[in-house]
This record gives sequence, C-alpha cells and structure tokens, in this order.
Amino acid sequence: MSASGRLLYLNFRFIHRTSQWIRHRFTPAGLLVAGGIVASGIFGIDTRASLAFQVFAICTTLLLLAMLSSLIFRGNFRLRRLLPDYGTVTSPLRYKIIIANLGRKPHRDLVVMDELDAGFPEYANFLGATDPLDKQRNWIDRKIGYPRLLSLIRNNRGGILPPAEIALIPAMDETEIGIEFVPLRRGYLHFSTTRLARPDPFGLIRALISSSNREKLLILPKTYRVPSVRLSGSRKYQPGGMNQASAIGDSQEFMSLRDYQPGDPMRAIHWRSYAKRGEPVVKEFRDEYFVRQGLILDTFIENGSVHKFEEAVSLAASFTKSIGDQDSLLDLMFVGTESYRFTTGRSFGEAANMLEILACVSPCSKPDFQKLVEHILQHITELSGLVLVLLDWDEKRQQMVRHFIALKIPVQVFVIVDPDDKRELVPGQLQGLAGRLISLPVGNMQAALDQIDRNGPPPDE
Amino acid sequence: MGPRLMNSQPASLTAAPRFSLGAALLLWGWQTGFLIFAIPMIFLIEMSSWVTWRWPISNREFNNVSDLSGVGFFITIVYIFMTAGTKGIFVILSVMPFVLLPLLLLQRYSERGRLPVNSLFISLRRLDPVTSPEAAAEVDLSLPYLLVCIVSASAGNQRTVWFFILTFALFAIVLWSFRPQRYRVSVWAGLLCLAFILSYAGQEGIREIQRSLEASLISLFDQFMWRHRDPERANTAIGSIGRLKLSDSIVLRIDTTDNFTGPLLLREASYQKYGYGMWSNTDSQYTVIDPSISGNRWTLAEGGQDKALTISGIINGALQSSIYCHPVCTAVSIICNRACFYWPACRLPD
Repeated sequence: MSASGRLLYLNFRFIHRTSQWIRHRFTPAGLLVAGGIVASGIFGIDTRASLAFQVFAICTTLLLLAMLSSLIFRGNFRLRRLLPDYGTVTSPLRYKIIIANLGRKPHRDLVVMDELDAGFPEYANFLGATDPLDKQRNWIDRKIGYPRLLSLIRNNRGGILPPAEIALIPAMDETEIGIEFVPLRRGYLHFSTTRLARPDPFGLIRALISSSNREKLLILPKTYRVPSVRLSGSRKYQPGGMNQASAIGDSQEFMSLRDYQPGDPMRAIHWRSYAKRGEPVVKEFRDEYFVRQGLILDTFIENGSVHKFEEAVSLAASFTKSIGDQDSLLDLMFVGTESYRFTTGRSFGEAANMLEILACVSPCSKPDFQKLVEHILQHITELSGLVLVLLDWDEKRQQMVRHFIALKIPVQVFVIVDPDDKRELVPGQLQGLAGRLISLPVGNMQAALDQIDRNGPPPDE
Repeated sequence: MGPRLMNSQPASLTAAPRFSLGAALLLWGWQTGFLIFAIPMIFLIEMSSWVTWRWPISNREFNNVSDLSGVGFFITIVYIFMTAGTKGIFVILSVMPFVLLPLLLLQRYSERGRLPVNSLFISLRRLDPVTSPEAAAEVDLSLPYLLVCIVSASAGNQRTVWFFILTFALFAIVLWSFRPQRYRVSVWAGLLCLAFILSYAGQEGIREIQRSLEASLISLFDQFMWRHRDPERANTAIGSIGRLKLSDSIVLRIDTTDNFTGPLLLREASYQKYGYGMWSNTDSQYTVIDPSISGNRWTLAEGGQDKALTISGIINGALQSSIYCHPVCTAVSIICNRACFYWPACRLPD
C-alpha cells in the first residue's frame, strides 16, 4: 500500500499505545478532568471571549499535581494468578489473583489490573484483516480502518479484564480477588502483566507496580445442544479394533480355540487347554465391528466469513461432546496446512481432548477440496457415515458430497449460512434425502438445531 | 490471616456528590443569565434524591431520548450559527446544560440509575453486548454534566474573581467525594491549597501570555485580518492595546466639487448589540450596488454632476472609487454612521 497508508498505520499505533497508557494511568475521574482540559482549552483560547481559560488552569493544575504525586509508589507485593484449566467462549470465566503484601505497612485503595497480551498487528495483517462488523460501520470508518484495527486487537486479546478494587491489604498479609470476564474467542489467551495501582490524593492518576506474570489459558469453543444424528450405515470392521476398543463393546467376544502360532500375544493363551494338551492353545476373538462416524469440518473460508467458520467449529465441538454418550467412535477430519484426523469415543481419547484440538483449529484461506476428499477416502472403509459441517453449499462442496453418496456412504450435511442469506439450499444429489441437508444461520444456531430435534430425526433411506 | 476474596468491580465514574449539581447549575445560571431557568432545573435534578419512585425505562426509551437530545442539539447549533456566526460557539456552549438535561433526568428517575453507553453512540447499539462488552457498559452522567455546567458557565459575562473561586470550590467538593482513604485529610487539604495557588497563578499567566502574543502579532493582524470591517458583526477588543497609525499612506480620498462641509471623522463601523464577546447589528438592511462597466466605480446615488462627491480608495493595489451626488451632507452622514463603506462590494442602507 502507499506511503500514506503506512503513515496512517503508524499513527494508529501511536494512538493505540497512547490510549493504552491513558487507560492504565488515568482513573475515570482523571479522564473526566482531562476531558475538561480539552474542552476548556478549546473554548478558552481567547481569554477575552470567555472564562474557560480559568477552568483550563484549574484542571491542568490538578492533573499535574496528581501526576507528580503518582511518581512514587513504595510497596513490596507478590502477585499470583490462579487460572482454571479451561474456559469456554462467551461463557463468563472467573479466576483469582492473590496479592501478598510483603511490606510492613498496610495499603488501602489499591486497584489490580490484569492484562491479556494482544500485540499490535503487523502492517500486512492490518491490511489483510476483514471484520464482519465493517458492514455496520459507516463509510469513513470502513475506509480509514481504525475500528477494524481495534476489532483485530480485541480479537487477538480475546477478552477485556476489568480492574478489581482492594479496600485494604494489611501488612504481611495477602488478599484474594476474583476477576470475571467473558472470553471472546477460542484458543489460547495469553496473560501478560499484572499491575497494582495506587491512586494519587485527588484520585485522578494511578501509580503503578507491574509484575510480569506470563501464563496461558485454553478457551474451548462454544457448544450447542445437538440432535442425535442417526445415519443408516452399518457397523464396520475396524482393523486392530480389539486393541483399540479394549474396554467397551465386542472386543472380548470369544469365538474359538486354535493352536498357538508364533507372534500370538501371551494374553491370548488359553491356559487350561495348554495344561491339558501340553501345547499352547490360543483363544480367537470375533473381529471388531462397531459404528464409526466421520465428522468432516470445512475449514476453507473463501469469502472471509470468520463468523461462519467459528460457528462450524462450535457445531463440530457440539457433536464431539455428544459422542461421549454413545457407544461409537467419531473421527474428526479436516485439512489445514496438513490433513488431520483425530478419533474419540469408546476407549479413545476423551471428548475434552478433541475440544482442545478444536479450540486451536484455524481456517484455511487456500481451499483444497481434492486433498480433503483424498484424506477422507483413505479411511472411508472404516466409516459408517459422514457428518459434514460445511461453510457453503457451492459446486465444489456439492461435488464432494456427491462423491461420498456415489460410494454409498450415508451423509448428513450441515451448512452454516449468513443470517441474511435467504437463498434456499439446492439439494443436488441429496434430492429425496429429506432432512439430510440442513442450513444453520449464524447467530441462530441453537434455535435451528432445536427445530431439528422437534421435527425428529430424518427418515432412513 | 487467610486470604479474603473480593469481587472485581469495573472502574467507572461515581455519582456527583449531593447538591453539587445544583451548585454547578447556580454558577452557570449566574454567569450566563439563565438563573431563572437554572432554579427549576436544580429543583428537578435534586428532587430525585428525595423522591423514591422511579420509572422502568427500557434501552429503547433511553435511545429515543438520547436521539431527541442529539437532534435538539443539532438544531440549536444550526440556528445559533445562522444567527450569530462563528462567535455563536459560545452561545452553544452556554446552552449545553439545557441540551443534556433530558438525559440526566432520565438517568436520575430511571430504575437503573445509570445511562447505557450505547444510547449515546449509535455505532455501539449494533454491537453484540456479549462479544463487545463496551456495548453493554453503563455510565453515570452526573459528573460529566457537572463539568459541562462549569465549562458552560465560563461562556458568561461575569468576569469577576468569584467565578474562579466558585469553580475551584466545586472541583474541591467533587474531589473530596472520591478522596482515597489512604491519605490523611491534612495531606489532601495541603495539596488542594497548593492547587488553588498554582491554578490561580496559572490562569493569570495564560491571560498574560495572550496579551504578550497579541502585542507581538498585532502588526500581522493589522495587515491581514483587520483590513476591512464587517458591518454586521465584530469581535470585541475591550482591554486590547489599540493600533497606532504608523503609516502616512492615504486610505480614502473624498473629492467634492464644492467646499466640503460635512464631519471630517470617518467611522468604519457601528454596532447595536453586544453578547459573548461579539458586537453585531440586528436590523440592518443593505442594498448591493453593482460596479460600472470599468469595474472600479460605483454610483451610490444618481444626481447632477455640479455637486458630485467622489470617494476613492486603494483596494488590492488598484484605485477604486464611488460617486455620490447631492445632497452631500446627508450622504456623508450615512457613510459615517451606518458602516456602509464596505469594500469591495459597496452597499448602502435602504
């Protein structure tokens, strides 16, 4: 972009850093007095026209004295953060900070300000950033881009931590405060500096003691109540399934005895028969057959609809969470920079592990449907059915679904759509499979999912 | 001693101390001459502390009142700028407590007791309060209103030391209300006394700085901004050092066919009304006179050539003149008293 664009970016960075400094240093009353300086400064520029210059003098003096008295803040404190294991997007999250006063003097009227690290976006990121809220902004805001930059920073930060007030910490004692905030995005939130602030005698400016206290907290995607997806696919043979599903299902089903062959596991030896015959005899078990569904997450955002992608992740997380109640396996598959496949259910990883994976999944701006199809086809023989969570219902995605239908794999397709997108989805090859193609509007997902539950599961074909 | 758990509280503005808003409105009314309006306003505001009933006001109603105040403010701005020109900014400043009063009353008589920030900013109304917490924030308008009253009061004409003293006293009352308990009263009071002395000296210093600046820039103003008088309005120059005539150049020449018998003093402009540092005329009627074909002559009135009066002046380096004929004395009188000689468009009162 042009030099003027870079200059604008540098200005934004300066403004942002200044505003951050002001936010840390000024109390709300201090900000009001600063506002008084600006207003009276404008109107008081001509001392003959008004007396605003006197208000200007008062406000400036108060603020200067407050600044001077905030230069010294003596105290010996230890700050410790107690974070939970996980949080969930848009659900209030509460954690604690323990403040220990190691000095011999009690301290009153302190404020604890914790901070999430956001980092200022690079110039290229700023240029390439898209913000769904841009639609609601006026032309100037969209053109200049500062609100978009703030939105980017806010999203990187992942939450706004409110300051907490401490009335008194006695000498050589500690106090615990609870901070509650709402995580705004999934993934890791990086906690950085914790500040302890002391107001000046006028209560306008804060003196600060900072403690670098870097920690991170994983925020899981939000989940919905999802209907049980009943696909008509049969149970499939799972190679090595006995080892994989050792605790639940058919894994211990005895079939017959046979002579020992080199390589047979020791635990398969039937000791009583061995004692009778004097030669090792092993037990044979039935092969593993159970329901294993594939959950395909579409990560290809072509039109920059991050909100749709977030809803798709939430829906995938919801299915992952619901698998814990069922005697089946679920394979989550998606393509990013590489192809990924994670399994949960039965004795495999806990659903929580899958949620952790989904918490960190990123959208892919270079769609490669061929790679995704190939990845699914590698494991298609083990899968009873596919649940596809798609971000669009365009020709490429329809072709992908047609491919699976041709292989006689039962599919259930969920398409995340914009709330203002009133177009009806054309079923294509899914014609006649009522209820197998479902559109879920962003922002109204739960209602749409509940509607599916009310209507009952789609009939099996 | 074991740890005690405290809850985080979002730092926000506290409410203004009781009666401080009334005091600020009294100051404003006294300064701007709106005392008769200030008293019922004080009554309405302070009554909210005594009356216990409150309205359940929805977000939508907050938005509507906020929008109404915005529209009222816009209309006020347009009207005042049209009637008073750029100097009308001080008139706008002086009426700000009227504009914000509906919002403050709504806040004080609502069950919520605070104003949703998104009612003040339309852009915030569109945001989801869950993902954008700033859209769900609430603010107490009383302290900002108090500050608005003080700044608005500064637009008034009572230029005595009492304005400074009363304003500082109001600040002291407000600062006392949220004084951190960790400091002794003596420390706080001492610092406040220091602030009083410094701010008084500061405002005197600001006044002196302006005087010095004006003295040094007076010649520049004389050259560029005071070249022509506006017959409609002019800024006050009370207290400023006048200009000394340092040039011998002739700015205006009057030629008559007969001996000139009219007054010899030429007045640049006369005004009828003073307000907010501005002189203005309210009922002036002017007629635009087109120049002659040559472009540098204006005939002020038709008449015989035997007793003609020609007024010539240098405008933008070229000699321009206008001719006025009988009766000479009347013509000069008009020129002197009604500020009609306004270059380059010469206008006469109807």
